[in-house]
Amino acid sequence: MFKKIILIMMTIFIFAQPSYAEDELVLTKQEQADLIRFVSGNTIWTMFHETGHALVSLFDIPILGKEEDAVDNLATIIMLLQENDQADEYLKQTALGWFLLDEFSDIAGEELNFSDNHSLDQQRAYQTICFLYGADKQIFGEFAKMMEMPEQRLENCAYDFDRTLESWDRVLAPYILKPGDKNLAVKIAYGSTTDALKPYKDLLQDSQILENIQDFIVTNYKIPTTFTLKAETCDDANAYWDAEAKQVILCYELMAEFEKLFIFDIKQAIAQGVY
Amino acid sequence: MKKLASLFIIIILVWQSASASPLNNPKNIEFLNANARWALMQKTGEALISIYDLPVMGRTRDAGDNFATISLNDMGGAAHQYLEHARYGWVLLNADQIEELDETNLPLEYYDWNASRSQHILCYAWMLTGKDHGKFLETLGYFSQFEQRVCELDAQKSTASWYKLLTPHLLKAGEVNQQVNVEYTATTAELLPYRSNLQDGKILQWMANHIQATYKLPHALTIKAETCEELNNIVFEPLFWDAAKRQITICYQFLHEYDKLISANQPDDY
Repeated sequence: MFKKIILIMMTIFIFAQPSYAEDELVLTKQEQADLIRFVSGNTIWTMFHETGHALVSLFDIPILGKEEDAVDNLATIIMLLQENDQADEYLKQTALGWFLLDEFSDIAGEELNFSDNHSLDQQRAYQTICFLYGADKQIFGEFAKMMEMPEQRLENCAYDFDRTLESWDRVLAPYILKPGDKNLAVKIAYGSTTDALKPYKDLLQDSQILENIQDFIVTNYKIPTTFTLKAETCDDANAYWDAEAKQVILCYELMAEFEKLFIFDIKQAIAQGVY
Repeated sequence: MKKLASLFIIIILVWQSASASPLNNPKNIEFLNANARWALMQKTGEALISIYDLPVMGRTRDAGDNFATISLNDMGGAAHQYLEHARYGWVLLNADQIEELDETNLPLEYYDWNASRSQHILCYAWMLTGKDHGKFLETLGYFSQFEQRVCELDAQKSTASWYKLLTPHLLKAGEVNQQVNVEYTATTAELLPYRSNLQDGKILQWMANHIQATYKLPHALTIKAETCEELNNIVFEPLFWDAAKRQITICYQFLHEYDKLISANQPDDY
């Protein structure tokens, strides 16, 4: 279905100090590596999610249910089909990220927003795990168990995964790039940023996340119009597809938010005496 | 004498049951029937996905929800009232299940569906009925301006998608179609009023007529009302599409559940 891309992260970049650490929390080298893995995994998944919106919009793909769920699933499927350990690990980090966001929001006293067009954070975590298990229970069975995924839900995961994969495959089939086809360009832009957010821009550039996604799109799909993958400072921890500007936007602040969640997790573990 | 006493007790029980039943209340009957129609339409959406092998990249049940709301909106007239009752039904179901949250350790996922679905249906119903429906508008206080805009775009996208994928399967003038059969099985004394209600209201027939007049079916279908077996440790589905049997089933328990909901939660102005 999809050509594979190389998701080998260049882990040469090390955060000197977590930007959001409110007190002295010096990370070990292992923790720093874990942090980069967490931020990278969640960023890659998010970018594939937004790329999914771009494909739905550019190809006018019919969506009978909720588009947000559909592109959540697409992001997970694309990464699963890379069939490499690193992509698998990033997917686990994504599921953990949704659980952490849910816990963080709960402690911050935020109420669940049922009217949001996205599914709830816990649902997105469980849905990701369900697809991992559905795709390969040998590889992800232990992880699903560790995440306390209900048995009853696991029973349908393989069917759900296969059905969704087949559906995406079918609706994207007319737009698959054929041998000899010339394609339009997907551009990349890195906007300037503040000193505080510069580490995330550096991580993004060093790790080539946007370039990997660009490569994935132009080698898989015959795109009808040029569009841009852009990282920028937005004053908001967000990522989105701007249909008018034809841009997938990743805010550096979102990467900072992922780092904040990772630090939150460590602090929670310390507070609970399990770290 | 014993027979007489037994008969007397039975009469008392039936009388108590009848007097406690909201099936004597036209408003409650309207609520039950509207929710049954919405739910049957939702399962019809799932059935059409299965019959025509339509692509679903999210949850099938959400696609069915959208189909039900879009279809009832298209019907207009009384069907807009069905949407309102369905929206209120989801709100009540959600409140009812949240009460259980403290008593179980099941993950939130099992509980948030109703809340999400009630909001989603509300959003669609508001958008599709022309944004002027009083009761929807009142409840829309929960939606920010941004969420309303997102809802509008979402509903437009889903509506266009359903039309696009179903258009090749619409029945053309003069075409002969396969039969959609309706069946009511026998039930217990407790559930008998719900069976009678479905039959009197011609609810299943209404659904069958709509399907048969609208979509070109590759084979016959059945819409069946029955008493469903409730098994321990399995989430009870009071309405379901069985692709192998080509059958939509509505359990009498579905109406019983909604009966209890509306009886326990009826607001003064409802």
